[in-house]
Amino acid sequence: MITETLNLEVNATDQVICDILSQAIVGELIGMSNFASLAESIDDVYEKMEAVEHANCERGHAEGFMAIAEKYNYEPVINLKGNYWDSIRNCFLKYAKAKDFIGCLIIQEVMLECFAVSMYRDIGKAINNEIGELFSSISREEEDHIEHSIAILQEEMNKDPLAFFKKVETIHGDCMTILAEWTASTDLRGHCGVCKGSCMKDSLHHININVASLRGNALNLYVKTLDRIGLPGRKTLQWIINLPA
Amino acid sequence: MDNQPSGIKFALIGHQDSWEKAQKFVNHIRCTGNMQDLSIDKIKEVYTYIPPRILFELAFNSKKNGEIKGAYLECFIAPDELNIAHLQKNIAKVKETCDLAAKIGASVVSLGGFSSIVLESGNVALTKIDTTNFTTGNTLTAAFICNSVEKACELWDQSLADATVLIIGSTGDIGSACISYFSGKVNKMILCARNAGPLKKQSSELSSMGVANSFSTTIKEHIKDADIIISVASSIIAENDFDELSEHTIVCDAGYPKNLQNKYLNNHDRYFLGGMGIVEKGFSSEDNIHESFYQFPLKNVAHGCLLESIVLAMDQSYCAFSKGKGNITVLDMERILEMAKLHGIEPAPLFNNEEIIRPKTLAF
Ligand SMILES: NC(=O)C1=CN([C@@H]2O[C@H](COP(=O)(O)OP(=O)(O)OC[C@H]3O[C@@H](n4cnc5c(N)ncnc54)[C@H](OP(=O)(O)O)[C@@H]3O)[C@@H](O)[C@H]2O)C=CC1
Ligand SMILES: [Fe+2]
Ligand SMILES: [Fe+2]
Repeated sequence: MITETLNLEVNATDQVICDILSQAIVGELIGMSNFASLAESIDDVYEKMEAVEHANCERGHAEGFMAIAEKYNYEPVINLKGNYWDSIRNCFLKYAKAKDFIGCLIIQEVMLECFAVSMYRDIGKAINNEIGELFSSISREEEDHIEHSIAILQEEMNKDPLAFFKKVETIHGDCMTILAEWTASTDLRGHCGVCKGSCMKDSLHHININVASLRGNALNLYVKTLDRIGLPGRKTLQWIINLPA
Repeated sequence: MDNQPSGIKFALIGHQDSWEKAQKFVNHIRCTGNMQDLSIDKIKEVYTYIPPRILFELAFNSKKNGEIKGAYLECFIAPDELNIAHLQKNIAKVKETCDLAAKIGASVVSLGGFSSIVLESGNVALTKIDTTNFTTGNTLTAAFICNSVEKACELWDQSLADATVLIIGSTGDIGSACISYFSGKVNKMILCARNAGPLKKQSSELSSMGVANSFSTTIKEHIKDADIIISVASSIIAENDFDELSEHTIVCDAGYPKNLQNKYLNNHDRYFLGGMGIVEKGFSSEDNIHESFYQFPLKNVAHGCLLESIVLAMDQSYCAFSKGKGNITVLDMERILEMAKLHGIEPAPLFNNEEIIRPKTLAF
């Protein structure tokens, strides 16, 4: 009897780790595709090269997660057309098609990376093996991506503060709304299409974390990043409070 | 853009003392378009993750020097986590808020409510970052408390010289200031806190100065002996501790959150909120947003701790006027009260949760 419960518990833990890996792989592949699209659409050669390099970096992350999943005999679901991820991809494409380099940077390097860095960090602490270590080390690498973008965006902000503010506000509405729905404690848009069975959000307690703190920490990093870029704190507070909850 | 507001002289660091108040201001900010209000449960999911920030700018009017500008900085501490179990998290948040105050260039900053207690328990006597000075605001708070207790004695015909005064939280910064003030002015003092060690020391120091006193770690048994109770504890007092409260006893609650939350006390005639001041020439905030969570039965009142940095800013006396614990002197209380008066800031009239307390009209 005791072994049976123990096995169930082990299965539930494996299940949630597998789902987390699925989400991470899909997220990285979306990142890779985003930078690839950006490379195609922009004209500046240096920006093109940088975008390709970035795409390659995200590809490396995806491969890392895929390899470790295989090692542990997990079978992650790699569905780039899942509800939330597909919307995020479309949101990005809108800006890429308009050759809006700064807009793309805000989506990928600020919004998506803040979520990646923070969530990977929390997951890294929660999973006590090399899978956890991989999450922690990729989290640190992604941190560099945020740092890199802050410098560029600060400059952009200084050129025309009001225009820049309006731009971030629009993108926040477009993209953060999706991320907020994806991470809300109750599914606001139905199944994500990536987790096996019911959503991993309800099973995170098997690795002693919960979606509210994952989301909270990610939002915290996002707002702090906006602060560092120089956006007005009272406005960004309003943005956060107005997100779907 | 307003990320670096200009002309800021003072800053107030604060936090909400109940989830209901946090809910009010969050929904006040959220009310764009036709969005639904957020429930407290939903607010709890984001609130404490919000980094400290300016909630609004304020303008206070000095009788002598005109308008000065400042900002209210919220630390986003959970109102129900103001205790030792969450100390590390709270210290980090208060420190972050102090850095922000320095970044916006405030000359003097009040560490309101729990933020001073939080910082001091981390043993960091933070008094200055660059050119920004931090004050706990406890000297003006204590001065307001003592002044209002004297006013209450006059109102309710209680002779101070004959009174037995119970101080809940006597070993704290504000509590010990009240003791210094009332030593020699009252008949007897009863000292109360949870830890016996500091109480014993405080009691013997008073005895050696010839001040009649006793001390206790339990409140309940001393309630009926007290003519005046001043509550300045850093935690909420158990409801049934006040069961034997006598009708004639004057009760001043100066805690934040309120120390005495029971319904019975709200019906007690001689109960008022202490440590509050009133600004003669008034103050305002952008869109008067402060009114969405800072509500009292009379206008232009604010906590003594917040008003201390405002008074210092009005006077251009930028310094850490109140620092550390146990350093408040009666002379300093008089000095800051005098300075406040000069700028039109005085102890608030007595009021409770619902109304201003006025002398009962005599029936002929
Ligand atoms: N009205 C205003 O403008 C202001 C109000 N305040 C409020 O005043 C209060 C005191 O502040 P401060 O003096 O700086 O705090 P301190 O931490 O210096 O002192 C708190 C005191 O309360 C005692 N205490 C705490 N819990 C209890 C309890 N359950 N029963 C009896 N004693 C208790 C402590 O001793 P022990 O730990 O041994 O019990 C200590 O003596 C706080 O609530 C604070 O928020 C502060 C500033 C301004
Ligand atoms: Fe990545
Ligand atoms: Fe990245």
